[in-house]
Amino acid sequence: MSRKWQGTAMFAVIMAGVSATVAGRMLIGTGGNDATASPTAPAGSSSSSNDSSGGSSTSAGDTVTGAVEQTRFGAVQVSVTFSGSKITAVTTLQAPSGSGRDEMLTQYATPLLEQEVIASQSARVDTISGATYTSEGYLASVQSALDAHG
Amino acid sequence: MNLTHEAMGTVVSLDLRCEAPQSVVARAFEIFDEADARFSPFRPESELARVSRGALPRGDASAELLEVLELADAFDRASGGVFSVWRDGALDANGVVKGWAAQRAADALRDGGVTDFCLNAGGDVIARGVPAPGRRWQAGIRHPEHAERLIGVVVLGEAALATSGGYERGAHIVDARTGAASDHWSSISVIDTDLTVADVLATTVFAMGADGPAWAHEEFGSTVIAVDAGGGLSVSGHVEWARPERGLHG
Repeated sequence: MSRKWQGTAMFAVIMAGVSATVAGRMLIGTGGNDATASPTAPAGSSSSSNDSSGGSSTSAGDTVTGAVEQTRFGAVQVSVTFSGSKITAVTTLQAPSGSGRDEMLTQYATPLLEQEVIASQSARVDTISGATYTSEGYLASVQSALDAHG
Repeated sequence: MNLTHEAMGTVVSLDLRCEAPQSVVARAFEIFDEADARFSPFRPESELARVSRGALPRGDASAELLEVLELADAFDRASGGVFSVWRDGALDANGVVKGWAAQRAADALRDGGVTDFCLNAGGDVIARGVPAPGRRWQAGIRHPEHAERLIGVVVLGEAALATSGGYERGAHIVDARTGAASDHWSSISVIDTDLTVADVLATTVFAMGADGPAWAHEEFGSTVIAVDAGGGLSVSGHVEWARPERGLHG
């Protein structure tokens, strides 16, 4: 593998020809440094509401307990700890268990990554990557739901 | 408004969230049809097929075809031959053309004044602008084994995302150096500013095996979300995972 490839004239010529945006690299990130931090277990934040009427703030706005969300994998409920507007921890209060969870993913690199990923599964979906013709029906179904949601 | 267009053996979906001239949208879809005709390895009279069998000298080929072949050669070299458009002595540019065409279509939309859209070409995604005021585009990544499930949802913003999995047509993503199917990963997703890069890297990282994600991140600055054959998830680079909206407010 050439490690010098990006420095070659060929790379510059080709990338300039293909798209100017390629030159602007993005998301060269922290390499998951955050993931080494232990999520803070929000003490006294577990006044979890088991209805879906919305989240509740339990400690002066620092930790917010989310509503129970039904996902493809089962019920998900998280609490999010904020420092100002920055999220410092996402704690999973309920997560799918049993076969749904087992078939999903069996392991994650770090506990914080696992929490972030599980929480994301109940987030809004605008589009789906990796779908192929085998899942066009699913894509259409999701799209129609999104359209209905407005 | 959601528009779909069938091309290149798949469905292209365009989610528009702003005014868009009909002619600009038509031109964007036309780019896929042109790429289909020019690069199809299955049509004997496609330009690619003619170059492949020597009926058309490379020097007489169109600028589009030369661009794709030069791009493919560059990825071939960068990956040490893991990625290649040569298969059994014939050209097959399918590994690069879908992402390349979608990137060109997205550029055509933006150049035509379309500011807010998400283009999905058979699972290759590029988003521009915003889906609604105050929101950013969010993309789910399909589960490698269960098409109706998602690994997770990422905040894509104005970027491109491509995913390769063992479920893809042809079912085998092969290491072009050996011709062997790669079985280290079950799913590789790549986030990049450019969909051509994301699409090629998703396939290449998948074929490269264990070293792939770090290679793509170090060489291209792309972010890689990888699921191995045992179901373990790892991330190279920074991913902003989406968060549930309702009931959560800071």
